[in-house]
Amino acid sequence: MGGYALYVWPSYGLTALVMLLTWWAARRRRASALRIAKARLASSEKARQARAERRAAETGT
Amino acid sequence: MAKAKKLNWFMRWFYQMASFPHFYRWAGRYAPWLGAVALLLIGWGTWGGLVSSPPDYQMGDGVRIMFVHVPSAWLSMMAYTLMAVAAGIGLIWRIKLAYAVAASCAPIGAAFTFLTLASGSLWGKPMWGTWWEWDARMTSELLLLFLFLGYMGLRNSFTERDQADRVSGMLAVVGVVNVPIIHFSVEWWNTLHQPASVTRLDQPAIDPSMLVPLLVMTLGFTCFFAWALLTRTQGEILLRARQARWVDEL
Repeated sequence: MGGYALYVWPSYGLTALVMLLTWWAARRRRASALRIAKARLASSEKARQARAERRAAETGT
Repeated sequence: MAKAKKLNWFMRWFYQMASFPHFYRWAGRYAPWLGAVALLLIGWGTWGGLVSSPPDYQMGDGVRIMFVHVPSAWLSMMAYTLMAVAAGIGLIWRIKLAYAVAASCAPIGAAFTFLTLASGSLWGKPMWGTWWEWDARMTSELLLLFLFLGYMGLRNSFTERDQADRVSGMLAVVGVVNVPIIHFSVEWWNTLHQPASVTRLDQPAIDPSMLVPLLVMTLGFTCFFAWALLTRTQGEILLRARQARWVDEL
């Protein structure tokens, strides 16, 4: 590297490292968002079902 | 008549894209391809930058830092401009997807702004004899990093996502004045940083043996950015989707 190895390799290495972290963080964030969205959907479905059951019980008796 | 038809086609596309499930599936279909193309181009560009291109007549092998520094710098400004445009669209038309895109730009943009500063520092030391100088180019690029971080910090300070979108969106739009300042800083002020050699009105002042790997690398970085942006936007969509049955099918 003609005396510049100390500067060239770290700049390539750092770039690779930060891009890998960006790649990993983006995937992780999407996965966690998917978990949150599914949990939220499930809990709202459950609440809706509970409301429907209560209404059925009230009208039934 | 033809013009009206074209507009309809465009507006239909525009509204379709603004729909969360449609965009989510569209992103899921194309993001992997972008990732693959990015990997290929960056591999080619790295080989070009480290092996096939010749050492510079002045900078010797130190010039090889250019192949990661310039694409990072291009992305840092492109990411900010895209973030500001998306935030502006969100503020004007109240499109939630636009806010999701803006929020996704920030961390990726911040990462590449950091890389620009770090690789620039590693290049400056052997060439100029200093890691850092408060000249116009470097100071305005550092300001860009602070704008990205400020945008992210501001978002985090709100518990209400709609409010975070609006207020941080205004910061993003106002901060965009810094982008032309970065670009023209080397012309407006007497800087240590060299002026542009690729984006000039006349011919680029760089030999094809270096220009080709540089452009390949820049295209590869841009594809990587697009991949990361789509993936992050998918996440932001999921966090904004309320009562969304389509989430159950994922």
